[in-house]
This record gives sequence, structure tokens and C-alpha cells, in this order.
Amino acid sequence: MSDTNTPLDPATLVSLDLPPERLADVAAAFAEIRAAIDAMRALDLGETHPAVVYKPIGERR
Amino acid sequence: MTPAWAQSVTELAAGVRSGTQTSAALVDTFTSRIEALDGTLTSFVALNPKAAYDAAAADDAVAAGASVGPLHGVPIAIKDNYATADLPTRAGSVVDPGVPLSDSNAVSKLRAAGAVVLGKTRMHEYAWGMETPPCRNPFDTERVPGGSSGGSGAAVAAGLAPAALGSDTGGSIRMPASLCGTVGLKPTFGLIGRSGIVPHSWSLDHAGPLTMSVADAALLTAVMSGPDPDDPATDGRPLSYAACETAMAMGPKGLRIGVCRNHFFETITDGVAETVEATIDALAAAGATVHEFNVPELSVGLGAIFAIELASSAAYHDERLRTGKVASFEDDVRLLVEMGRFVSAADYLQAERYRRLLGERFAEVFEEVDVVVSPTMPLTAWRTDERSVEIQGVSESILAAAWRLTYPFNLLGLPALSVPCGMAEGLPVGVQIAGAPFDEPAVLRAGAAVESLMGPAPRPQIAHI
Repeated sequence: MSDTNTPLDPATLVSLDLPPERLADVAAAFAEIRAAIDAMRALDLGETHPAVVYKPIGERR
Repeated sequence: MTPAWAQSVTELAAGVRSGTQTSAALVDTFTSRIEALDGTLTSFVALNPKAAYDAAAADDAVAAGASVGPLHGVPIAIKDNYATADLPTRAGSVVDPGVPLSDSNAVSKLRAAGAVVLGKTRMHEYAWGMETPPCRNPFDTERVPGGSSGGSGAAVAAGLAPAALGSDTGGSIRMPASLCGTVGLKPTFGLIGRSGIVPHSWSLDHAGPLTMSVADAALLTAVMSGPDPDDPATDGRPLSYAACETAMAMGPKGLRIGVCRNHFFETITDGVAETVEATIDALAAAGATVHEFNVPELSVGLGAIFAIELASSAAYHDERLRTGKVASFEDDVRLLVEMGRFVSAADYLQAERYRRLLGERFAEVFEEVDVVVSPTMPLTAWRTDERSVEIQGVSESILAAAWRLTYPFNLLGLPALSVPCGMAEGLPVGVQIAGAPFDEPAVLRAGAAVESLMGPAPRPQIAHI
């Protein structure tokens, strides 16, 4: 297990209690997905609000 | 006469209602076929021990002249992530999802319409994959049936059930439908309540059927539509089967078809391209108008579905992540669930902003067209040992390629139907037809036109044994 007392510890950052070698494997596999997410982040979304918007529940009608 | 196993749901239901066939005989027919053919396909994980009893009760009701529903006495298979009162629900996993023995909203509506639960079909573990091991494709048992509703696709194509339920988070109904040569409908988000279905990604999950005809998909969707008090995303409005019947009878003349040339027609195999282009040409020759357009923002959509689906899955499985239970998942599913912790909250929200932007683009499109037509998948069924594919000289992981054409309609929540439209290298090809929100009738109209022009869904050789 990694040293969870270190704030920059990779396992602490992602809150995954995994051995370092497993965590490295997961991070390596995530590289393809990170590239796809980074491509999305590069798109100018202007003032667009998220599709999921909070609405109060229990509204009186 | 068409044997019972090859008849449509509507034909079987009419036969039971009229007394020309019995539900008990249907259950016996399909159970016998499963015993004879499913050793290779492994599309079922459990048969319902109460099916024969329920079928006998259905026959008694007909004999007594009772009023019966539109699915009365018809055996239907259920994906293993729908809760059922008479069979355990495992979501394809050895890690128990903790689902009680009670009917999910969709299954309870099927039963209320008279359906008999035949058994549970195999799925990719926790709906997180496109292959459904060890299930095999009935057209070539060296190839995958797709996923995550792979057991449902294989079972329906092989004539082991007249219809089956699936669930679709990024394409999990439409992908097995395309690869196995069945019809698969992912309705509008909110049309079918999802309470009692093991969640995967709350804002992307949809319930729907896999069938051998467009009319059957319409009937099952109509039966399962409507209110679900335990699913906050449910819209509540029912789908009228009569409206669907009217639409399906209209034919393609005057139908406005949109063809999005970027994204949906890039990096697809020659066989898929030729088959789908022939389908569009046939629709145009029959009187449909074709409007071509581009949505450039689709080029970065994969990042959005990854961010939302991975983060949602990690949130759903959080207790299993914290307690180490995910170590008992299959390797591929464990990896995907653990990777969900790597998606930042900011990236998740960027994905939700992208989703709204994409919705605005398609809202503009649907002011000009009735449906959008594309391939369902960029390729046909791949071999079970393949982890990446090369299409048009581009190497791509299965994870990225398989759902490239289906996930946009999960992000958008729009109705999307896969209909068989031909074969390429001996394997089925599906055409995808998407519509505006709650405009299932237009989607089904186009689907019925494809069915009429390109021929009914194919049957694999194994089905005729």
C-alpha cells in the first residue's frame, strides 16, 4: 500500500487503496481515456450550462 | 407454416389469444431449443422454474374467456440486471448486487400484459463491456455477440426466445442487435422506468427490447412505457402502440432522413459502408428525402461519454471499491471501475456541458429532418480474442471503436433503433435510426420501411438445426 499520509501520494489523490504497481497499471490504462477527455476539454463550450442542473425537490404547486 | 420459434411476438400472442396455440407449448418449445442449442451459445444464465406454471395459468385464462393483455402467454427472456420475483438477479457477476426477489418496473408491466418470464440472459458484468463472455455470436461462434446485452441478442437471433429485454448505457441494446442481426430499440430517456434495474450510469441508462421485428419492438416498448414512481428520471407518458402501428404503415414516402456525414461515416469498414449506403439509397428511391449535414462537435464526444460513464460507475460501485470487492470482478470490468476514480469532478461537469451543447446542435437538426440514419456500428462481429481492430488503416481499441456510433444518442437521450439491413462477409449489419425526443413513431416508421425494403432480420444457420 502507498503512504496515505502524503497529500501528493497518487493513491490518496484518486482515493484508491491499491498497491503501487496496480495503481500504475490503472493509470497507464487510463491514458487512452485521458486523451479523449482532454480533447473534449479543448472544445470551447462558451456559456453552456451542464445538462444536469439542480432543481429543488418537493416544490409546492 | 412458420414454426412457433420463428414467429413474431405479435403472431404468437394472436395464436394464444385465438386458441390456435398454447402458452404451455410455447414455453416447452423454447425451453427445448435452449437445452438443445444453448450449450454452445451460453446466452441464458437461468431458466424460470415457474414458466410452465405461469404458461398453464395463461392458457386457463384464455379457456375461461378472460380478458387478456397484448403479450398474453408469450415467453420473454429478461437480461440479468432486471429484478425478477422468481429468479435471482446477478448482473452477470459473482459479486452480488443485492437485488431483492421482486419484479422491476419493466418486468411487472410485461407480466401485467400477460408475458411469461422464460429466463434470464447473460450480460457483460455489471453492463460494463461490449462482449458478454462466454456468450457466442450465433452467426459465427468464434465471434462475440456484442454487449452488454449479448445474451439477449444471441438468444433472440437463434430463436431461443421471441424477444428479450436489454439495457443500453452507451449502445448495449443496439450493439448486440447489430452484431447478431436482431432489432433493438433504445427508447427516449425517461420513456421506460428503470426501477429494479441494476444501475450503471444513472443519466445514460435506458431500458428496451431486442426482437426479430420492428413491430415487436414497438409493442414491447409501448407495454413497458409510462409511469415509474421509483425512477425520478421517468417522464410518465405512455407510448401508444396504435400510434406506432399507424406510423409503421405510412411507408418511407415523404420521410425526411438526415445523414450526418462526419463521425457516423468515418472509419467504418467497407462492408458496413456499402450495406448502409444501399439502405439509404433504397429509402430515397422509395420516396424519402435525404438531407446531409455535419456536427463537428461529435469529434470530441468520446471524452464526454467516458467521463460520465466512468465516474458514474465508480460512484455506484464506491462501497465495492472501498472494501476491495472489485478485486472479484473480471479484470476488464475491475479496471474500468477503478479508472472511474481518475475522472475529476471538473471533467465530469465539462462532459455535462458538452452534452447540453450537443443537444442544442441536434435540436437544430431535428427541425429539418424526422430521423437521422447511420450505421449502428463501424464493424461487424469481431473474434473473441481481439482487443483492438484496424479499420481503414486506423488501429483502435475495441473499447473506443465499438460504441463510437451509438453513444451520442445516450448522451442525448434520443430514441435510437438498430434494424438489420444486410450482411457483410457473412455477418449481420445494422442500420441505426434516431429521432427527436419521444418521437418513437417516426423512428419505428423508418425502421419498418428498412425492414420492408431490405428484408426481415436474418436467421443464423444454428437456428435451423
